Amino acid sequence: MNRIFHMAGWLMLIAGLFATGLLPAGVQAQTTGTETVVIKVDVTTPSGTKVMGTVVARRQCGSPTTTELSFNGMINGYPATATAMAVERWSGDSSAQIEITQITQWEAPVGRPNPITLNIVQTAPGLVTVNGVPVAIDGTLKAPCGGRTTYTVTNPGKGGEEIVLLPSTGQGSFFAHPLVIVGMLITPGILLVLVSSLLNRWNARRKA
Amino acid sequence: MLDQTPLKTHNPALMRMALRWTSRILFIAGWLLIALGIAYGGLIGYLMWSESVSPSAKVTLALRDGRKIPLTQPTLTHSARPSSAPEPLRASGQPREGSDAGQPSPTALPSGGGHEQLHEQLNEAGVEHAPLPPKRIKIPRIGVDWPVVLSDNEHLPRFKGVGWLLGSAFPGAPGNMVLFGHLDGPYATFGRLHELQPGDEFAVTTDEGEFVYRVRSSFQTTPDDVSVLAPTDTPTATLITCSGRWDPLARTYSHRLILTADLVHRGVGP
Repeated sequence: MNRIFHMAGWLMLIAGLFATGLLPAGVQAQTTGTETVVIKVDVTTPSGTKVMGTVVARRQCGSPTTTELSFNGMINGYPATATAMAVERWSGDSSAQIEITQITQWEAPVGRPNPITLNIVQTAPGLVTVNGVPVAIDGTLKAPCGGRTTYTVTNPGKGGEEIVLLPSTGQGSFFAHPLVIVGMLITPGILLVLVSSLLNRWNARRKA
Repeated sequence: MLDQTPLKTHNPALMRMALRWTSRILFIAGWLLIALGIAYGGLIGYLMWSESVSPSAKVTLALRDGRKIPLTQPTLTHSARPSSAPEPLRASGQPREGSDAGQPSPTALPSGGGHEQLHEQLNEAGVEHAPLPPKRIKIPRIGVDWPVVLSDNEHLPRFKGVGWLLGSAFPGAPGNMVLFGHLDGPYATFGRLHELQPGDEFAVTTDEGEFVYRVRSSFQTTPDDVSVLAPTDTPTATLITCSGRWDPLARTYSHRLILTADLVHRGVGP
């Protein structure tokens, strides 16, 4: 039993050191001014909800940074818009606490969420965790007014998307093709003939 | 008066059993936490490796000739210098099959190595370094005035809206802004796109202003010709909708109608 506890203790220590090594040195951004950042979001939640859209963040740089967020996009293909206010507290370029203080507008096919605090840590280039949940981004984070104004955020581990076909933008009609019409006429016709033949046989047996 | 006599254990066997069970529960809980920690660490480690090998945020075009090119637009940053973009497959004005292809682009710049010139020109034109996403597209001639949302080629709007391809350029910024809309059905937005001719203009609005594009060419191509999505080094737009014959079994049209356009004007204010 003691050996097990001993081993567990070492494992915990190693895990702790590993986690500490990922955290950046705390440096507060002291820049002033304004900045507009665009985040392209393409995320599928574990429940299968597809969120696609753009978040525009209008920042009043400083420490902390006050930000006006607006989302325009779609959830499961249906339109969704939202606006919110947030306070960002950054430690260097790779760690931030973003407190959504107020959701001012919400028009979406899913229920309005409550204000939340997001703890964001960059664990590696291309990977951040948001409250512990891993999320893929293009490149590395930059603190407010640090020079980076566009990001793309998506599910991690799925690999890059490869486009092999142009989007299919037609609904068409199932009945438009002549062969479909021929099939729609012939199939019930054959069925009717078969039923009629069965009825005839059944009638003949009854007479016999 | 409080009773000062020490607490006596009435049942030592019960006490021993409670301690034994508490110890067991702590042991199991401890190992569960360790297992969860190792699993989470393993997941993060795997994702770090996975993202370094094949970044999930990267979009690539698989061309018919087997080449693969990243869908990366030239970007302007605060460093006041655009980053390098892959060599464009077609410079502005390159001839293609279809009507009026090959007209010179009104804002054509030397292809390749023209970034500095382009940046200066954009600065003079007042283009912000941080472009904003498109919000609406307006083509009065064919009755188009629809919202624009970020999409990819597999997830199109299920409402009267136009998709802005993930990875394509921002309005007014250098690169190829790709917009696509339904041809027919309840969400049809680009049903009359075929009526547009070279020289016609359309506007794409953002929160910062309106960007006017002039149609350069209009042609049909097959669905696997993804080269039309390729980045350009000048501010261009590509509008896409279906065309040709409807295949009810494949549930798609045989062709795609492509309109290419060049930025000709930037208006101020939303």
